Amino acid sequence: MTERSLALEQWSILTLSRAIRERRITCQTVTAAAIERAKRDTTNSFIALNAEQAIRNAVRLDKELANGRCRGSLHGVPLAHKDMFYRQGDISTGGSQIRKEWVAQSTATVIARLDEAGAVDLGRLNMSEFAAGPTGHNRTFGNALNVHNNLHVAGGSSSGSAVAVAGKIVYGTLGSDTGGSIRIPAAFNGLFGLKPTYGTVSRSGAMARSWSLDHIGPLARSAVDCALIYAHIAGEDPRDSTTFRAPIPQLSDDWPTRLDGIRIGLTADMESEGISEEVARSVKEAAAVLRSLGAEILAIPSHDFSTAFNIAETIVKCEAAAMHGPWMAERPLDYAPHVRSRIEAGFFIPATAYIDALRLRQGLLEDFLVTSLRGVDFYLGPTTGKVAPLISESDLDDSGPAVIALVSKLTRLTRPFNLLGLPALSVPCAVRSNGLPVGFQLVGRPFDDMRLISVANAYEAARLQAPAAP
Amino acid sequence: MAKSGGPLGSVLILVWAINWPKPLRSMKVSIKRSICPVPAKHASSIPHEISEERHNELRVEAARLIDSVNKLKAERLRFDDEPSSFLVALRARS
Repeated sequence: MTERSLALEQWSILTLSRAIRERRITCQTVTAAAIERAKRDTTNSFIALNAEQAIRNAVRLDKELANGRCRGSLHGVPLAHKDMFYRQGDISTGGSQIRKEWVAQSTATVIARLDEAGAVDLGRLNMSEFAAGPTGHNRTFGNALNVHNNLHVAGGSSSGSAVAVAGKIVYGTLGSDTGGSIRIPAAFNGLFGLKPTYGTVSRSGAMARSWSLDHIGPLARSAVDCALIYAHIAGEDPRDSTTFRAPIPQLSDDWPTRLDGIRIGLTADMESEGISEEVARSVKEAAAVLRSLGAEILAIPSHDFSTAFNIAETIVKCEAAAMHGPWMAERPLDYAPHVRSRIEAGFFIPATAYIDALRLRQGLLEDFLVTSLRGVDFYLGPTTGKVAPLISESDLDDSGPAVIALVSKLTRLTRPFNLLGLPALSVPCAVRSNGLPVGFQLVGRPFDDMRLISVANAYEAARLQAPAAP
Repeated sequence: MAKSGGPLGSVLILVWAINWPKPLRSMKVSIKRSICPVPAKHASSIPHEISEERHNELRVEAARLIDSVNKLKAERLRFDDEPSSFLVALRARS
């Protein structure tokens, strides 16, 4: 579809970028339209809209174009990001009461890179408190609402990010993912959401949830848009020691529409408890589309992720407890009960168990590579076992085992890949009960991020061409 | 020594009355610990007050995670494995 057949808010980043570069539309016009959409938003996606600053930046970017300088594919493209990426001199709340007025002293590397690429930052987006919570509930700023059915959760923790993009306010966004916080809201809102390979995107200047498991990545409405943002944020950063010099992923102009020669392992885990029939059916239909494009779909045995899940839980609880200890002592009531309750167990785990959990990561990574990924290029399964739950059935303003059970259920299929550090992409594949989207998760080998996106791009093109289901 | 009923005695009684919960609380904790000591592996550094019931819930949750780590440790970990081995293994595949 082209710009002629679609309203401005429906354009892809690629289409918008071309129109801006060829000066058929100004950055100011595009930004002003996005601000108007943000002002009319009924999904509570923004915590703060920085309209004046955004317009000033758009005018400056128009002047640059007039002077012959184009910064690339994000020049003049309105984006907005989860309110946990610091910008020097601006408030960054982390979705919390505690940091409601906190002003950042430095700018996150990923934000600086997007600024340099010419993206226009519209403001700060809603999120789960301290990036803890797969439903997206937020007691301080209110819940962001699912775009497809506002009785259901948006998913979290990058709730506002998903809603702002799915609601066509902005063209793309950054989220963070410690146990599924990019992929779950992407799946619940019909978006592409990439958790990149650990160490390919800098975490510097991004509020931490768990240093060892945090990943920063894009959410967007198409695979190519996801790739465009990812290509600009990836790369070594001296301010984050876990990043390293690796080939910077390049966006191809000529991605294949066929998938001949690609082998995809479809997990047998879909028959297990906790995965609904409609989700299982949607993923199998997606596998059939991939097969029709030439990919070989191989059934692979179910992988037992329960251990990896528990190891990841150990790490995140201990790191969060260390981080939040002083605030928990001074102002425990400023945490939502369900957030506080998820951190508390970390104070009961000895340092030796935490260190052993970190030591076990290498072995678990190698296990997965030589079992589930043996003989295949990618692993395919659902992103979540069910579509987005009702807000009313997941609003746990409480503490204790009920919270743990809900979080475990929603993150069971995503959290293990944070521990393994592997690239994982949630791809929208169907719309099911109550108009709610379903996403499948494609997982690759380390640094196969762009290959993952290219497979998703081929799938997306084939699905768009297919006749709509009756 | 203050005579019973004298002004100093009244002050001492008043001070004791204001502080009485503290000694009683310490006594309760020490008696409880002597009867059912907290196992070292479940000792907590939790910085805020929680109920006894919540304490027990958290012990159970932590014990489940610790057991999971220990079980896998017994099966898999070698003496020389270290946390940074993960990043090395990941980067080796770049």
